[in-house]
Amino acid sequence: MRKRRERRTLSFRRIVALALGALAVLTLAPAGARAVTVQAPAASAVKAPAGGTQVVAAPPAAASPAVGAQTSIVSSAVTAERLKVTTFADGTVSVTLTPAYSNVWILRLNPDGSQSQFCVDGSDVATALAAPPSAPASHEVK
Amino acid sequence: MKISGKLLPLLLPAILLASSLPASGAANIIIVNVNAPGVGFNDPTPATPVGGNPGTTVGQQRLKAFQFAASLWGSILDSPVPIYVQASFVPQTCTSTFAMTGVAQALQVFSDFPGHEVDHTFYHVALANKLAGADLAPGPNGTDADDILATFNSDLGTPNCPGTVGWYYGLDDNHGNRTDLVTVLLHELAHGLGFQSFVNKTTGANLAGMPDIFDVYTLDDLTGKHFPQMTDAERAAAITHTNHLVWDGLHVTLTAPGFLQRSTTPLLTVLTPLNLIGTYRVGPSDFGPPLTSPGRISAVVRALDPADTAGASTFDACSPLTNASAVNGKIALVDRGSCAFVVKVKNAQNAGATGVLIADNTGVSPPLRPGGTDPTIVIPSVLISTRDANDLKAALANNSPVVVSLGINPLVRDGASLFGLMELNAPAPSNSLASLSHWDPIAAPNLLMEPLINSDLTHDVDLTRQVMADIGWFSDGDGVPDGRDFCLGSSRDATVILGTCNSGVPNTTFASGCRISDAVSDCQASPGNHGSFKDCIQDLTKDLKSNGVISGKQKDAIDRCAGSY
Repeated sequence: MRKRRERRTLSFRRIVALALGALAVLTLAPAGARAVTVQAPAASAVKAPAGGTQVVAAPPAAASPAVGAQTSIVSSAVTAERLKVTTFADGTVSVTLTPAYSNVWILRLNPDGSQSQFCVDGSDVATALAAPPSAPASHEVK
Repeated sequence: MKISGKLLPLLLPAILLASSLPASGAANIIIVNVNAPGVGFNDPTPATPVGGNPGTTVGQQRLKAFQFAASLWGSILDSPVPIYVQASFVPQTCTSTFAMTGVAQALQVFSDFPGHEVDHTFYHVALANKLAGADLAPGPNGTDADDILATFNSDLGTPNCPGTVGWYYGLDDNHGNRTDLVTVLLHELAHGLGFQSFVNKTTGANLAGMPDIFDVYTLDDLTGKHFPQMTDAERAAAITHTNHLVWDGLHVTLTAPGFLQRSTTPLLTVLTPLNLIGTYRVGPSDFGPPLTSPGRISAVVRALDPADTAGASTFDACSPLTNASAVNGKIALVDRGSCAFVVKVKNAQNAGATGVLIADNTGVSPPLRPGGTDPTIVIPSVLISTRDANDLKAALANNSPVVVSLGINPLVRDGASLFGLMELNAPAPSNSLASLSHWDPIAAPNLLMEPLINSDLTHDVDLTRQVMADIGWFSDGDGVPDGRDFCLGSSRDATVILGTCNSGVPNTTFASGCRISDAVSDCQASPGNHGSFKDCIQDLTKDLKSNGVISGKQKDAIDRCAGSY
């Protein structure tokens, strides 16, 4: 009888999970949950992870394989931000991104000899950071 | 669905269990070497194998490191379509103190393609290809038909670039003071794979008028709006809303507590009014006692003083307070300016204040640490941002009691909000270092996708994997956005199938992203014999029928399959 009751509870739980799960996201957030981690490769025996990787060495190489055919282009335009926006017959829209949408990794040597590394938006921002940093303002007294 | 309010809390743990990520998949990430002969990846300069990297030339070692990082992401993500990374090592901007070490980006984005789960929303091309099951941008390698562009600085470590530090090409993370290429690659590839918002930081405008999938889970927790629901102006404001711009994708949210440590950072926690409840960043003063855990709870009162030569404002606390009786025993809110921080705090202390919030006037956030020296000050004080201060002032002006806790809040984790949502990087002004496409650097331990790259990072992608899950890299194609989907990896079968028995009953998808087949799998995974399995299925079908999900005939069909299973 007890087992039967446990099974029934499980079933009820699943029903609630099925039906109300989405509503409970924020409620549950602080409650904690199991962590899903990806183990870093062991330092003592470095091996390439299992995922497939190839290197195409000769630039520019052969055409990449098109798994599916794209529908015909309905319109193509370049915006004021120099973005090429293409609309396809099936409703797909694509945008070819410019360097303004890049992520730039910066290394800076600080006046005290330490180094800082950070990632910023776009090459323009990165270039602006080439100027030596000003003294930190963290000790203002008024 | 008839679920009583009393029953629901008892059932919450089961909902947690329902959230899981599929096992790691496999994606083929192809490095497209676009360097000319003799340079970059083809640099023939001899090199000694290092840290597990067997390359014997500089070029080989660069390529091995790229391949290693790409393989790691390839082992985590799942896609039937190869991902092409157009890669090169070339000279980039350098001075004796500065180097642009690497640049990466997605080359295209797509919306409304076959297989997408969120309408009118851009996806990075590699993710769009995965969801479409096809290469949406076919074409020659070395062109915009590739998926990710990754260009790194071949001069790093040479004289004047910046000279003393260079790349570490080892695969073992033993980089010392050099820049670990694998870590940089894991970070930058993550941007190219989808960890990036394309919102204009200055104007708040969407890319070509549409939000992206990263934006779908970007929330201002005070306004309660996600990026796609905001106006441009609201987005521009949210981008600098430090501590309140958060990620609310399900998989990150459920996993973050397992990664983040309990807070060790002094914060201001607003307990009332209701619309301001949350944690706020503070700059603790260099003087006075340190802030402690769990913090001091008190009402906040604006300090008043004369407008005089010490300070023209009646809120600057540059002179002895005129509302000491109101301030006594409370936390005083004073304005920055006209006189030293220590003067303001001392005046508040003399009026009986138990702590002081100094409202910044610079617009900078997170707030800096007020400096000064006065050994007679015995109450804690902090600087709070102009914006946060204005919120508190508005509440007080509206006669809403403001009650706060000032100190280290043991209920929060470093990097998450009071409600457990991961904080995104949202410094003010917005043109300051880094972008919102990162975690707030307050996160501890340090995470791969913080904007400030910390030397203690390992080759672990930590919460970035859950972001990839939220944006769709493990999609089961059920039409429920994955950041709201408790059952990633649901069966794609159109009908409920038990073993070889097809019940013919539609495999209904619920708002949670779970399907009837998930509940059936739950019964299959439960311990017990065939009899208990049948009981479990019968309980399930009874519940489904009583809630109108299936008919009596459909119930019988599933039960029959269970009987013959």
